[in-house]
Amino acid sequence: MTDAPLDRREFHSSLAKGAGMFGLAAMTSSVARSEEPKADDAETKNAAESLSPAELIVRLTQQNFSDEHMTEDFLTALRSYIERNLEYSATLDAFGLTNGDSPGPMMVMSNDRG
Amino acid sequence: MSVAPEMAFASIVTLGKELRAGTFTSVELTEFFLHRLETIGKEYNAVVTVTADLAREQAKLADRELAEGTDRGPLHGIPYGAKDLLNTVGYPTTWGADSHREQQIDNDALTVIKLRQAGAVLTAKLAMVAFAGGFGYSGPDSSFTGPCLNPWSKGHWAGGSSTGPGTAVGAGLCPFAIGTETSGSIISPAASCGVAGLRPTFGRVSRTGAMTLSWTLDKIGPLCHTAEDCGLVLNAIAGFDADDPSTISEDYHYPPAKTLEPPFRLAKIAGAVDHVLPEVKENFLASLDILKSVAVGGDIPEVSLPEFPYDAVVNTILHAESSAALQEVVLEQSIWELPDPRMHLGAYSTMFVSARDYINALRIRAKFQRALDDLFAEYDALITPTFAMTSYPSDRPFRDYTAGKGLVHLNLRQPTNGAGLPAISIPNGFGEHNLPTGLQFIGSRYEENRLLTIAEYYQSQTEWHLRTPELA
Repeated sequence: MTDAPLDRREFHSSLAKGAGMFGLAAMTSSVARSEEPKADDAETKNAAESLSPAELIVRLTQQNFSDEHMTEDFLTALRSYIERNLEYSATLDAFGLTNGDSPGPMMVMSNDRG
Repeated sequence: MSVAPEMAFASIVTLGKELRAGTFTSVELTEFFLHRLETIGKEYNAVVTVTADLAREQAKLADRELAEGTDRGPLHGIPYGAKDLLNTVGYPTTWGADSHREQQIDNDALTVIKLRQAGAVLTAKLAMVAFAGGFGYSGPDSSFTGPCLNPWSKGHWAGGSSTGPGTAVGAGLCPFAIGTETSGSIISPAASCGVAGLRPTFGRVSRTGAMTLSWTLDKIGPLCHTAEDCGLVLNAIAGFDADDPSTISEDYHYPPAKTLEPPFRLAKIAGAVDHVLPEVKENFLASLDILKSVAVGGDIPEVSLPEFPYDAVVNTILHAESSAALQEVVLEQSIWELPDPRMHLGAYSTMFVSARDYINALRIRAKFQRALDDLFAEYDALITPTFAMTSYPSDRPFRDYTAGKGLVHLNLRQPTNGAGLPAISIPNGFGEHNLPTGLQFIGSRYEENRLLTIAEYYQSQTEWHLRTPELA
């Protein structure tokens, strides 16, 4: 993500391209910073801020992968699954990693230069 | 010449001796097992595709080579089955999913190639939980082939996700099978079906040509009648592969040049029998009594794993990697063709795991890998019951069966799979409904041969692996 201002279309496009769960909040505030406040923007912002992180991700999922199978019951169950994933996220955050903690080998160099 | 019925449950070693003694040919042995796969295999929902034409061709070649004096080793002429996520040219590779029933992939998995080079005969593509259970699943009915039934009790499940390999070996449909494990999928069916299942160290066996569920967790390994057979199969399929960067350059040899001699440095995991079925506890304690005689000082001390958020780490890694590896299933919406609603929820709930969480999970995993390396360096094997219970009924969700029973599986599958450590499960008795219980040995990275030696010692002192089910 860059610091470039987003208009409303870009905002929704970004959502549709699958922004990460924590990127969502950042994007929302970026939009708020970058444009003159308008009534419906304020409503969008307020609506987003009133939703829990799990609910935001449910909405994001629904927006990206909308399907007739996504009934209210499905979305309710989905929320509980996402809440569990967010608990994992909180657990990882609480671990106390420091800057020097590497994820281990992320890329393997090959001798093959094609 | 004909193949005696008891050969259905014979080890690779025994079959190899009989084959070379001329008791039967590979063609005869192959026909014997093809018949069992076509009849019993389909009745138990263990088989996706019987590869009869290929098997007959490979068996004829095996016989011809032996007659000409070419012996490719212990697997020469021995039939086997492969979990249906290993690519096989000319046959569908379904990944256990209805949506992929017609999938044809035009290259063989490296494991299939290596087994062909070792002279083994591929007789069947075997059933599995859809997508190797990567989206989660709520019960045994999780594959388009239906719930894979347990050889010891047709009303029970085979264990997953390598369901078909478990039942196929346990029911004597093939002398060995190839399964895969991301988080429990070899060990579980091995214990449930009363066979030996070896999960090799991560990187020991190339995954080229196998369905990817998780690049940093997937392993390929054998299910057999004995620990010794597991070593023979691993010897054939292990090795470096430039196409799979996870593979290690270190060679693997079985039998090992230098055998581990007792006394063994053994330990049991603290709390191993605190919340398990009474028969699981009884069988585990009896197993310890046998193993104490070869343990250092005649003692098997209790140890605890270091404290880490294993579940959060391994599940986050699995969610992030599987949602990318299998994204087509969601993007093309074939996920909805899967019968289990748990799979739909599992798939969609992991589509937005954050990059930061994934990287942090990898960072914490690097820490617990080191901590577990330190712990395991002190022992040849840590021992636990493989599961707290025997297998589940085949006709209802898992939760309906376990609710209120107070059973707690020691959660070793996450730390040991997360750290890429090898493990073997072998049968150590029976419990409810005459279903097998399992004994698990977990070891240091690259130390499969230590585990095999200890498991072989246990099997030399017991006869659980020689029991055969009365198939309904």
